Amino acid sequence: MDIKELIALGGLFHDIGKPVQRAHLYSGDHSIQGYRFLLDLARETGVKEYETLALFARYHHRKYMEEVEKLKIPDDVKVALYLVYIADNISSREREDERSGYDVRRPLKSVFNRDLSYPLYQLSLERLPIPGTVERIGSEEYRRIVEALKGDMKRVEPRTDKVMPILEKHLTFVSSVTTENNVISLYDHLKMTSAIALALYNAGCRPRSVGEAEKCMKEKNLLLIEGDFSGIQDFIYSVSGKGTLKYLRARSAYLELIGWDIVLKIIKDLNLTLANIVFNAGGHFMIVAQNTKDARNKLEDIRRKVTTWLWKSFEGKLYIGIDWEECSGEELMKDFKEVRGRLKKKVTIRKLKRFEFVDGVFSIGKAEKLEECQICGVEVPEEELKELEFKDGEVAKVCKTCHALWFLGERLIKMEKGLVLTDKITGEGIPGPFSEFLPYEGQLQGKYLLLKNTFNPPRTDMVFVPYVVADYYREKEGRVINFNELAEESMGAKRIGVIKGDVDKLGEYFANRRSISEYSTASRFMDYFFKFYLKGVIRGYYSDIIGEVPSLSEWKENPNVVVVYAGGDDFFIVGSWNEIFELAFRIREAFRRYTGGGLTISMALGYFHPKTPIYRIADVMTERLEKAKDEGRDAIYVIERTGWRISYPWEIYMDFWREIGRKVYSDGRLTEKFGDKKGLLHKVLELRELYVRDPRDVRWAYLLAYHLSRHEVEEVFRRILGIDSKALEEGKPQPIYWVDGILKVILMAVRG
Amino acid sequence: MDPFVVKNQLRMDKNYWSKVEPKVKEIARKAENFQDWKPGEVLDYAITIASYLVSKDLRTNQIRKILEMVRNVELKVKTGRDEDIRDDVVRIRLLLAYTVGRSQKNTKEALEHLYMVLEPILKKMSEDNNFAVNNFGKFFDFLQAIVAYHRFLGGKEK
Repeated sequence: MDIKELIALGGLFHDIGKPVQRAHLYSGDHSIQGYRFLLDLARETGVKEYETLALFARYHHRKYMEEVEKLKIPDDVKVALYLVYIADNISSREREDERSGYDVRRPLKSVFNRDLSYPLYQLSLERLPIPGTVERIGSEEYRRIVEALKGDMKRVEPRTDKVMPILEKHLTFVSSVTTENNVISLYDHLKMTSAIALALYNAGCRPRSVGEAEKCMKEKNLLLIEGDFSGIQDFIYSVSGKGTLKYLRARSAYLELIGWDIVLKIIKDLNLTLANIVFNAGGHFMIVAQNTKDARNKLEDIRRKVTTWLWKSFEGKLYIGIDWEECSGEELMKDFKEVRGRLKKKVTIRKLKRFEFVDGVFSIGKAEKLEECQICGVEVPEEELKELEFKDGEVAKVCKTCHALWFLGERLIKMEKGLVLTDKITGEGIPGPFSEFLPYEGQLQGKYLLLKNTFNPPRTDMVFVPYVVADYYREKEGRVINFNELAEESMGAKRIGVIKGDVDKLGEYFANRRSISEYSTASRFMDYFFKFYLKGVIRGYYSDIIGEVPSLSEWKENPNVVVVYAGGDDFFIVGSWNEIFELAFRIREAFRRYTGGGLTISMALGYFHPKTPIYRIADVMTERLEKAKDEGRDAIYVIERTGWRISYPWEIYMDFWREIGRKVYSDGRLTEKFGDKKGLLHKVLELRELYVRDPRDVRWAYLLAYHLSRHEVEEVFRRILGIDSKALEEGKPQPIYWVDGILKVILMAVRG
Repeated sequence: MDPFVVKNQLRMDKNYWSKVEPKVKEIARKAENFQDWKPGEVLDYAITIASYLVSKDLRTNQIRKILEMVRNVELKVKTGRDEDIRDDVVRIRLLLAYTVGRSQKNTKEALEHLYMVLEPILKKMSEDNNFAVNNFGKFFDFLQAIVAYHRFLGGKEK
């Protein structure tokens, strides 16, 4: 085995003894138990490498390190052991918390809410992990996890790309250290240890003693690399009328693949492994690498190539700021917040400078005639445009990217398996900055295999990258449903609905993560909500967790919904408007439980005629989401309204829906009492207007009492009928202020 | 004041009027300072008076003419057609007194109490046109609110 691969795997396995010890499988401390576990694995599989890897489990604590010198093993393996030892030190800041003592039964605390903890289970889409009040985890539960882990290990060869997903699947909910309040998943600790050890090796560190290893940690041997796209919204949505829903989906998938292409290129050129990717989600990535001149040169080169490629392909619509910051292992351990803060500043500045490397940004091209792509609007030489014939017989001239995306769009969405990234420029795939992307059906060969939504490594020589994606779409006649059909399928007013949402104050949240491992756990858990569990929410899973939400119709297993984008901390979903309306609340409730109330989310809803141009929809949605954020976050923009606050705090809307909405509307129609009272509902809206126009006036109150009692429905509107004197004193709006968002939605659902 | 609570009490207690009668009298005393009533007070007083009228089984058709007259004057004030409304107010006072006078035994008491509340306000208006023009809208609201809550609390028209 290559020494670099050995270091990477050594890092991944060094703490395997922790769950083994907690399962009481052998005796001794976790070093010894992990050692014996891997030796058994070597014996049972006949894979010799596990014997060497067992040494990393055995020797990574200071008290055992003295024995390393006497071991009869090759020198470079000794170096590897010292590197993993020191990397373990660096990546686990949690040791500072040792005062609380260890208790092997302590569960993993939630990275979103330290008061709550996770039960022990495998990572799977079927189960939404909800932190709760788990007191302790028994050895029986650990035993199940360890057995399952071992079973999976036996099926794959010892390669980082294949071992990582298995560890992730089984060790995500295993606490990395059983002190109180530990929020770092063992998987992330293993991954970061592996990443740092390899980066130190690549930096030239060859320690032969604990002292030398510690020296490696004090020098500025490491680079933290960050990349962040800007112009994502513009890139995906600024397409002309011919951009159908499936095309939009293809563009967002394409963007994600460009990100992967860049990340994988960095990993490859810098001789790193997938473990070095701290995260790659939502158009944003972070990598741990070595700080050498060679590495920095390569990064410069990659950055220049990416920038030029982006400029040429999308005329500056899409940009990625890539930068790096050197640091010592010690800084990464003690001052991760500061290092990351410095790096973030650099990336921000880089994003402001944009395209500085590209030659000829300001020069006008040669005399050749340029023409616009009729889909994305990029200007290219006339002869580079390709003809695209639409179903309606119309022919458009489009650029080659749009041409490829158009034809691969449907395949990209419907692909069962995943994608291959290949060097070969066949012209059949979609071009990325460094590779070509081709849908994988089981045959193709290439460098990387991005397999969708699975942690089970395939039998292949290609490097396996789990490609988690929220790929739900409503199928219609074997293809992706279109805008017209979504509107047709909707209730009442035939409209498409759109939700755009993202997590509140996420930057602040991440800026406060104390260690790189914690950062890794937090970003992974966040990303998985949107890439993994969101699909479950759409399919109607987790209803016991979500509970009752505002609803206009029964939730189907295959709702009329298409996820355009979801990942990182945000999403954009299109569908039939009434289903989109309910989906917003389902997502919010799932998210609230998922984060144990530790984070909040804001969303905007929009309802559009199916012929509305996509760029217009995107603009409206952005404005609305900003409004909800400006108005205090933790809110939903439900519908356009008058007054001094447009969005609803989630709880207020859900409260009003329970109290009023449900009594006015249920089972897809107005309730019996209100069957013939649309006029009255409009009257209530009118009286609310009266209130909004002059909040000090009280006419609305008695007029409301009068009209409601004439129709004998005053009980239903009890909440908004009286004057809330406390609200009046506190300068808060009267309850009637909130009623319109409920009634307007209902009126839209029953529009003939 | 929660009109639902009042409604409930009204339903439970046939002699509810006897409990609110002192409150109505108190409102009548406060009518002197009608201009100082806050919007919330206007509503609360209207609910109290309405509850008294309902408990006494007053029907709104009995004061329909007064309401119409008040509405016309309100329209006049709003559109600014005439600057002096003192004569109109005097006519309302006369009609109010007449309505009380010719009422039957069972509703007489109800109307008398309404009179006790409205008369001081109207009197002040007929003496001071400035006061009348500035407060007529509020007076109209007050009367409207009484009628609206009368309905809400279960009072009948005829």
